[in-house]
Amino acid sequence: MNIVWSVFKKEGLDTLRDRRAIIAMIIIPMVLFPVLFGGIGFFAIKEVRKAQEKLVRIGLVQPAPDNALIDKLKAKEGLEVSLLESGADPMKEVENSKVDAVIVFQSDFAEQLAAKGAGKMTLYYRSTGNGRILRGRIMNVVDDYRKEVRESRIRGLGYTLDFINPVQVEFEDSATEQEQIGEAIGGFIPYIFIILAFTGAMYPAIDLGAGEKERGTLETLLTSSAPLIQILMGKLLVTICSGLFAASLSLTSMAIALFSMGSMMGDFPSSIGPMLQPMNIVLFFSLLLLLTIFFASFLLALSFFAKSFKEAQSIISPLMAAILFPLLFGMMPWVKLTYVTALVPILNISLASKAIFSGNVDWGPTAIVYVSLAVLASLGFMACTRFVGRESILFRI
Amino acid sequence: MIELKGISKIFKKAEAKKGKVYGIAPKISLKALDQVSFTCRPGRIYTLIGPNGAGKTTALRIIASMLKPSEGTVRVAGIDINKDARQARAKLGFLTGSTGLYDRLTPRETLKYFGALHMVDPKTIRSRMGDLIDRLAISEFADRRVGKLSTGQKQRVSIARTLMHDPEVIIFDEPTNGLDVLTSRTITEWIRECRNTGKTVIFSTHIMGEVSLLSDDLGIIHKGKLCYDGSFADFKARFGHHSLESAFISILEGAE
Repeated sequence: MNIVWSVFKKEGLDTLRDRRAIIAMIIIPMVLFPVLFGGIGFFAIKEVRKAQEKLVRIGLVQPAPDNALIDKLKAKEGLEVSLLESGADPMKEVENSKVDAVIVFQSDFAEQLAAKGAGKMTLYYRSTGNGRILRGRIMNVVDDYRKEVRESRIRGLGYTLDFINPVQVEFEDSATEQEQIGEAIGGFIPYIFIILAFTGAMYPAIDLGAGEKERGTLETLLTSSAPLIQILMGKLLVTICSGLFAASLSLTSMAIALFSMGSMMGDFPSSIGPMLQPMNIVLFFSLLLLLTIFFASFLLALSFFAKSFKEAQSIISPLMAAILFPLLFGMMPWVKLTYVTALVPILNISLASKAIFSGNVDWGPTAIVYVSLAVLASLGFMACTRFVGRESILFRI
Repeated sequence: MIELKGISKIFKKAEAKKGKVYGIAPKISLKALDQVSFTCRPGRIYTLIGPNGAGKTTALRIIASMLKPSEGTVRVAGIDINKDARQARAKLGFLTGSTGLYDRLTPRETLKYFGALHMVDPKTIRSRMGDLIDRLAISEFADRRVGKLSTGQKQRVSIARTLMHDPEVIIFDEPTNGLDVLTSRTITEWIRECRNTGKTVIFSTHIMGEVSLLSDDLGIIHKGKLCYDGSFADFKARFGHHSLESAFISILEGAE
């Protein structure tokens, strides 16, 4: 055990002094998610708010029309209605940002409404930037007016509003809020964790296997009297810790980003609160621990198999795509955890965590997930010992 | 003591270019060592010389139990490496020209690590580390990262690393390869120092000057076969009228 500890300490120190490993283990997980969720979310929300609070300048073409809708628009806070210069082209006015929108009423707009017909109007606007939000604010006033006219016409005919709404439906969802959010977030969290656990473990694994071979230090290491299996266990522990560290860091930064984004949006954090029960967290992390052991052992085995750091990178990097495929498949709502899907690595993690966070754990398939991951992790470690022990791979003769 | 008896080593190598069957290349056999036997004694330096690809490194890797012999037996400090490789490794130190050091560790951390790997107790690690740091004049850069050291400084750290577990047998595999004159001299002085303290030293080289400077015994290897095995004094007596280089070449030509 002393050897395992010595190797672990040495490799840990060596990894922490490796700039590439630090970038993959700390910088990416710490920066990526706060930037993705916090940063982008913050700016998106800020932009939407800005568009909602902005004064919307509406232009009307000459001769000045006169109808009830114009009065409603003028009365609405945040909207400013003005008359354009005579002969002004509505499209150009909007294009040159002299106004945010131009409304052209058909000359008989008021008459048509009075005769219980349909008044026609054209709304000129720019759909780029925040134009759609501004259009939405104008249309809210138009829709309110349209509803008002429609209701008065129906009542005028002696009917109630049920006359135009003969079937009324109410929806009752049997899925609890936890189940709904659990399914969405439970499919998404492992996605982040798995990718980060893989990239976090990748660089140390390459460095501790192929890197050591390339630098000629593996030869000196293997001439020591330390048992090979203990040297490998020390290396494996560092690779596992690097993967777990990167993934946990990413989850923490993602949680901070989500909570800060949630606080901007309202009750989001309180609705995910029930998912974060200790039992769920223990189940989730034990699954991810097994998956990280599986990743670390296979990555280390491939790394020892490669001749050089570069070769290891070219073998391992395409595996990222192989990981993404089952992960994306697991995000499909109709794919469920069964005794068959429980045997597919990565997909099983995605499905099991969805079940854990939505509170619908089916213990049979979940147990299969644990067993299959434990078997795969052991196979990876066996491959490691075989690769390092084989002189044809050690010296690639 | 190192004893090699009838050592052969056959490598199976895939023939990449021709004769592929269903995309799989057939394996061909390469005999890297053929019935090699010699003995290195304590307090003496056995120099192994031979052209590139002669089988020197293969022989040394077999002694260090990194490679398994296809035939024959090797005993290191009386231990049969086929029976107890770990125990044999505990008795030997291995030093190559490539130093085999970790760039991101300091010399002190390196020595501590290799002491621990050889299961030396912490107290002995501390005292031996201090001693080696003093004797090899490492103290000035003992806490600087290896990656920032000069080649000569690295080679001194590498020697200290090899001696951390006080091995009875030391293997030097072309230790002066690519080094400048001054650094090479430090290494050759240390090889002598190891001999003077009663250790068994086996040393491989290309450099003829080092052969005459260090050898007590000599082995010449060519195409996997040992063409000469005897004391360096006998070698000089036999080929005294020739330069070392021409004597070496005439032995190789005789072996063709």
